[in-house]
Amino acid sequence: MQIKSGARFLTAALLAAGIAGAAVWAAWHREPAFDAERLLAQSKLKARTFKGEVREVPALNGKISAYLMEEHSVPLAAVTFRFARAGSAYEAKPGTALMAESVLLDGAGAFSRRELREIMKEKGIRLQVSAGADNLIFSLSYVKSFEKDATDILRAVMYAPQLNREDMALARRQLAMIKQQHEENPGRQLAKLVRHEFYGGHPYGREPIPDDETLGAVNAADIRAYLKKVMGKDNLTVGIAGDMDVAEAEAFLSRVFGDLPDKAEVRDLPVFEPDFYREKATEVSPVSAQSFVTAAAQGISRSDKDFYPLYIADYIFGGAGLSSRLSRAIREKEGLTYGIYSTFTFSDAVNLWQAEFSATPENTDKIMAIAAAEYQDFYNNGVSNEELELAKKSLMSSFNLRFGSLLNIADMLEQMQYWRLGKDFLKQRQAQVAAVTAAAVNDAVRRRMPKSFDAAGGVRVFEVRGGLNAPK
Amino acid sequence: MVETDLYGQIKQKKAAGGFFRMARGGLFLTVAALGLLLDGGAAEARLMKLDYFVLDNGLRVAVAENRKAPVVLQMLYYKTGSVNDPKGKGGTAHLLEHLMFRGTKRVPGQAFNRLTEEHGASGNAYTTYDQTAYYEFSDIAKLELMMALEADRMQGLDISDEAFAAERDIVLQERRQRFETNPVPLFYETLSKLLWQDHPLANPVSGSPSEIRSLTKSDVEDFYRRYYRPDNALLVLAGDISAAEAKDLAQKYFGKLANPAMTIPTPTLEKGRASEVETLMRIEGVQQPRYADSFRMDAGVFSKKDIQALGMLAEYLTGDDSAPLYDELVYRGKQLLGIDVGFSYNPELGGSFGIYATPAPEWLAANGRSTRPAGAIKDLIGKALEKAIADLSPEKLDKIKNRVVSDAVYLQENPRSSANFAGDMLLSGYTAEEIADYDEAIRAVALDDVIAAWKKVTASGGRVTGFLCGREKAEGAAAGNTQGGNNAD
Repeated sequence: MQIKSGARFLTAALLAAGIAGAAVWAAWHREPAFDAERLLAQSKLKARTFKGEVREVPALNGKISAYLMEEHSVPLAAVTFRFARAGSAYEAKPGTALMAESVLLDGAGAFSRRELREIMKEKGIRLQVSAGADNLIFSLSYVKSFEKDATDILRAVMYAPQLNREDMALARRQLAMIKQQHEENPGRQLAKLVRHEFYGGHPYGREPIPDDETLGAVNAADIRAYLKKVMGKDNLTVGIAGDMDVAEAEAFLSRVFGDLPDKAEVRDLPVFEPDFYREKATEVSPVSAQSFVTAAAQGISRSDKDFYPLYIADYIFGGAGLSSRLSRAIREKEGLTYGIYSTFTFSDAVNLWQAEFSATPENTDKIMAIAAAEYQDFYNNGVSNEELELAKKSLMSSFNLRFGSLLNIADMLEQMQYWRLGKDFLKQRQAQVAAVTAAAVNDAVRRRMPKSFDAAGGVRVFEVRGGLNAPK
Repeated sequence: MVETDLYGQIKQKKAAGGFFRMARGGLFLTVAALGLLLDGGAAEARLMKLDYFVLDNGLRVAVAENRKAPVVLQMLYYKTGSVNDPKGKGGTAHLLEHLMFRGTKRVPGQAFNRLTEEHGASGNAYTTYDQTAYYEFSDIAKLELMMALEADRMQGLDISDEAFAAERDIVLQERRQRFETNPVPLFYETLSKLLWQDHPLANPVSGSPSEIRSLTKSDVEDFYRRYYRPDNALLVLAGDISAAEAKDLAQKYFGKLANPAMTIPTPTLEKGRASEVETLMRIEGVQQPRYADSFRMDAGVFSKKDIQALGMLAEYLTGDDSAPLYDELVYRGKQLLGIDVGFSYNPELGGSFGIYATPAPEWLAANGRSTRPAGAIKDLIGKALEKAIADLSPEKLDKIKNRVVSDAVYLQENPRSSANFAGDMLLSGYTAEEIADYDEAIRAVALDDVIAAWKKVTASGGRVTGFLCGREKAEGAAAGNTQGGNNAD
């Protein structure tokens, strides 16, 4: 307190004394500078290498395999697995994947709905099924001593869901409720605008929750047929982390996946021809005073050879949270939004580069103008060596954070397998980031990213405009 | 951040997760959500290994060692939040939280953000009614830098006028993004006001937009000087570090900070008036009617045992989709589409016990007379609740207790959950020993304790029941027409 009010008093006095005096005072009174590098050099805590090894565990005569990371510090195992091309965009009957996701845990095999829940809660078994547009993903974690219960439940859910009429009816009613809640949500309205305007007749353009009639047409036989077709050994990727050794992992894989057909019967996804060169689409929100904006351009695949240069390019431009160029110019300097960021997203039909923000309606054009100017500078002049080194240092320093939780590790391992990054990915990743040069970033940006941040450059903008007066 | 994606995937409709999920954002001490811990009988099960010590300047430090990976989470809590906002200056604590990223004398301007980013830390901060917390998750090799930065901004804040003005605008944008993008938050904010009247818990953490606009730099600096001090803070380190190392480093970076001479002010708590209010809110654009019922829980009334008992009661009533209230009203009765109960309580400030439900449209059409839909749902749930509590037996309670053994494992596994749990518990008056043996406390809760705690909740005399619907909906409900007619897909 004394320091602060003292400083104010002094400032007033020094203003009278003149700027030269102030400079002398400031130099005299400056506290020792904060020297992060020196502090770290003297730090007692030194870098330690994370010791986790990724192993590929084959099973069922090599027809499937999993990436495994053993970690025995807690008696817990986490497994994430995915059936590719099994999501709602691929389904023959709209709503099947969604209904499956909604009712799979409502009783399975010999377990009634109630038993299933009670056993899971009592024994620390957590299971989530999620059907997205592209994939069907299961996340299982369990206390090791209850492995048998966990695999019994998992097998029942995958191969023998009860799909009772009452459960299906309740799921439909609850989905209708969620659909109604989406109508109150401007973010959802924006997603819907994008579906209509951008994806149109493509399966990605379908409502994520179909109407009652469509859902009502999905019966138990449809769900069984769907599960039987889309779950195969050839479209399965698995990540396992935790208290499991290779032999245990192999036994787990054989037990859980042994009954799968060798080949899944997945349908083809219609080709999607994205059009990024169209003018902004706008709708007014009936519930929101704030506007929501998203901009989309052609992205890249996770397995693209330009991935790291472009990932770093995006990181510098809009991906780095509060420190990105976008956030500094629009949030930090102007206070125009609570958050603005960009990112690459991947999906089967199209890979995107997206930027998003929310703001008061009168500011959205100004924000877009600043973003466009920032982008032009980024595109024309490239990133500086200093920015690049900072980004690389940041990405490399944060590398170990991914190992904080087993559930996270299992997800990461599954993604490594899904994107064919190889089991040595973690060993190579730091070197791959370190090898990126400013020239490589700027070259990739010129080749692969939009020429300008507008329709002419291939950036398509969608806005749900705040339609209400802001309450006082 | 904006939560949209281009193909609008649906999140899981049924929440997964255990007792330790944290209900942050607007709620304070989530002791209820922390819930229950129990080992089915094995005596060695300690909930979590937690080392605890206090520096000479009063800074409390807790360490949850976790050697899995070379990473560590640092959380620095200040025991202050929106309840300490001066009258008419709502949002002070929250704006200060934002300004803490805007520079100190030694780490000026945006240097804090640049340094944490450069060194790969992932961090943020949040403000609740009763705590303001700052955290950095980083590689163990970077922890000392994070500690130095956090210690530096405990007392060295130095914000420019421009930074203050920009950050106040950002906070207004945040308030808008949270509260003015859909009608539901306004509903809960209104219920809170009715329940707490002149009590500081009535005020939103963010402050109102006009309050935020009225805040000055000196308002925030005054608040900072009053509450940001070692003896009003708690440091939690969770990760690849031993208690001995943590003690050395805490002393090195925080030990030299001094406390100001003034005492820490305590908020004035208006005594809650006994009143039962039923309210109907019609807001344009609401598609899905919602029901909420909250009981005021006054400060100083509920013991630790009461709180543990209520945690078990909440888990029993709606802990999953086969729990009695869900089973009775959603699954079998079909009157509701969803129901949840929960509570939050700070022994020094008070709290509330809430029941939240979504009525089924068919039931609403038949029973939700537009003049008193809240009352109709209250009666419906009241009967089911009475029956469920009457059905609760020691055996059922044991089952609830037994659920917990595994959650302790999940809690220990993740440094984030360990740190959050330790921090919340320490700030709500638990000692490190009590936290380590929390499972034993849970085991000791008897059926009578649960009944007695619930009686205390219902006897508080303060209760607000609310019903939210669209303008057309309430009338539609009266006429038996449940379709809002606004599903233009």
